[in-house]
Amino acid sequence: MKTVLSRLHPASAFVYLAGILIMAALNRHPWMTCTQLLCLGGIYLYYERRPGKILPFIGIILLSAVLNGVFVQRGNTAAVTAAGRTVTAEALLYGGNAGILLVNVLFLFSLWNRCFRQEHWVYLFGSAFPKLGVILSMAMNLIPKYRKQAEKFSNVRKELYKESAVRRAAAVCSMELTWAFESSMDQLDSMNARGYGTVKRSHFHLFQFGKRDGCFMAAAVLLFLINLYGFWKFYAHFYFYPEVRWGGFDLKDFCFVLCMGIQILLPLLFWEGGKKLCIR
Amino acid sequence: MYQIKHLSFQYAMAEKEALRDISMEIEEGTLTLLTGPSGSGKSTLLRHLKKELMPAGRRSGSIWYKGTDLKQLEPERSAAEIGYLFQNPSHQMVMDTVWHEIAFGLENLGTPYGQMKRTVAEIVNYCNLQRIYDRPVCDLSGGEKQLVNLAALAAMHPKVLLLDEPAAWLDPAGKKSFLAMVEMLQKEFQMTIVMASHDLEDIMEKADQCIFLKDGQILAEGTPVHAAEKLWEQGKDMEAFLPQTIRLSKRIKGTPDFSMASLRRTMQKVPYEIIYRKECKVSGDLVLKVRGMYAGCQEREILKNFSMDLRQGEFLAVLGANGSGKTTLLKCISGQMKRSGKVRMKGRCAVLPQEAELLFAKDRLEDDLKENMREEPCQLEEYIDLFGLREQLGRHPYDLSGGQQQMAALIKVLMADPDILMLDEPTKGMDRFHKMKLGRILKILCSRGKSILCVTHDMEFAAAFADRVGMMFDGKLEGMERPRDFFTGNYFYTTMVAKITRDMPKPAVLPEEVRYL
Repeated sequence: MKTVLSRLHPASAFVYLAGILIMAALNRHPWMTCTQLLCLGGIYLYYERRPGKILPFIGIILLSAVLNGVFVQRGNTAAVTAAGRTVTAEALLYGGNAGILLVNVLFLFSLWNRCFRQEHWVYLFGSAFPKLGVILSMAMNLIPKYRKQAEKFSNVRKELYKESAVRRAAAVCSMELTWAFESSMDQLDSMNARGYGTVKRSHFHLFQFGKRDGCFMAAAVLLFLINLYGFWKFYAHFYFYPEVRWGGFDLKDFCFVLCMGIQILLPLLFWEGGKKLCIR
Repeated sequence: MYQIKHLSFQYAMAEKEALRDISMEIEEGTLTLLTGPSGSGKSTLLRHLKKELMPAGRRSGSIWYKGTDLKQLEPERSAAEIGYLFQNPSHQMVMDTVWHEIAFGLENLGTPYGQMKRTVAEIVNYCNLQRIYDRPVCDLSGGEKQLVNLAALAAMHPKVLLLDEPAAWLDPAGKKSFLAMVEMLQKEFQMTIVMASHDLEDIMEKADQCIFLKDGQILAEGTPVHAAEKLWEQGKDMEAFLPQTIRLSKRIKGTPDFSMASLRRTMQKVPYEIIYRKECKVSGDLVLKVRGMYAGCQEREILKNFSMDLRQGEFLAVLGANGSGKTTLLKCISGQMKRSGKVRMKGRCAVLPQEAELLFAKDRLEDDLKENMREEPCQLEEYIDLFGLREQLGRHPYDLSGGQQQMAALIKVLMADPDILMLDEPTKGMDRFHKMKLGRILKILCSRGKSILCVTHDMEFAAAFADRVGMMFDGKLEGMERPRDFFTGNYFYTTMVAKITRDMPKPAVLPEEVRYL
């Protein structure tokens, strides 16, 4: 999953991830949110390797359910009555569903982080806005450089002087500022010397958009559109209050749930067997 | 390639002229070496050879590049044909990854994508950067960074490379691979190379033309041998800048000679005696005792069962190649890193870091030195005179030369009143004049009862000033001896003069010890 995505052209991977993000943020229908939870949670577990890692996320869902249950009094079915307050089953379910929504987005971002490296971002922004690409790339260089230098300043002072942490932080800040100005003079000269701003810039990168990337992107877009249609037509509204109203689970629902699952697990199709699919 | 006629230059706010009536020519495809003490105008002259970097100030005279006035050169041509490499390896890097850094200049020139990719691929293979081409630049070592910077310039297919103290911040291994690369570029592509450097060791003999500057004027020029002869005539001050081989050949009454083999032959013929420098055995109290120390990061153990003694008033030098654990040793003893084992210390210790700028916190040197003082103010005054920084007190610490910065940083460390001074590569980036001065000052501090533990690559420095020398191997100190025994006993890892005089009845360690009879 991770390898497939990070080997793909950043634009394809981006379309895929953004599609899931939109679906995860839009859907409120329990079937959809639960399908997403199962798929994304499965991917997360696969990479973390330790079942224990999933506990905090279960915590979030439970917490969200309990909080909503305690504070929201709507709903008809009383689940618990204590201290004069009634906690309704509907409120609990609604809270749980909202928690699942949040967890889905978190899982998605963790996957995003795993497969998107710095250069993917720099490429995406750089090809859309070349100036911004340079700035982003420079920032990516400067941030670790400044952080390292601040650490060095702080270590040297810690070792040499006995001073309070606040004073040290203030001193390190001012030292860092002077140093940053000083070091950027060289950088400016170096950019000038290498002809920055003389003619229109071109943009260099190491990515190639191949047939495989095109297939993947088309599949991702198609699945996204199907799911968007399903959302718009069938799953945009789901009422928890005053009572949970389930429609039946028929063939149509099964198809859309399957579609959602495939949208999320799409990269699996492009792993080994996925290639054959493309060639045909 | 270049023709400079009567160039004089004065910086905007300065009182003195930085360059005075310089006239010279640089031939195509040659290596020209600009040298001289710090502040002699090497960098100023070098910057005049690149249109974009010409400093602001009053200028007279003219500079011609391939028959065009340099000021009239088109920007694209100037950017592509003339490459400039700065002293600090990391400050001049712009992009985040190595491949992007190499492509930066090409992007600026609007090179089409396909051609760019081809060139980057070529350069990565030619310069042996396969291992690091996709790494973020902040993870590289200084030597690797400077190689990448050079590769980034070479990618633009320049006709001229201007190198400003390119190897000053590099360790010996990094310096060697960097110089090899420069030589290759000159030989294979007939690039014209102009290099400013105060360190002439390993560099001077490779040059086709040497230009020695002093106070903004040309003091000597010509082939390396010719320039060396002229400098001999200038007296002892200037002689100190010459490499070890040249200083040795002067002492045995020869002509300037860069070849170790012919020097060895001459030494075997001529009569000479050796006057070793006075080495007195230090017999002060034990101030630092380390037994069975282990340290390392993650899985790798860097120090293994390390033991060491340091006496009061002793100057101990620890030599070793990169990654042998020298800096780790200082970090462990000063408590910046976790360690196990016994370390018994009498009094306080303080570390002088490799980069002096890590210590400067104020805008004026005077205020900076007075920050967090533990010693008496009169002590500070004395140090200022001893280190010769009185005239610089009003300046910004960042405006001092590399050598002066190191001196100022040393004063700051001394003001914390340590008993044990730990120095991490104190001579890095210093010219030889400041190096010798630093050595003499350290000896004075030793005679006042401070103990010094110095880790360094610089064998000449260790041979000239240390009381005891050892080298790091397998996480331990090997061959702890007096410098004379250490350097004459070593076969590979020793000073140039010791290599030349090995197996002779009277082996020497430094050129200054040899006297013609």
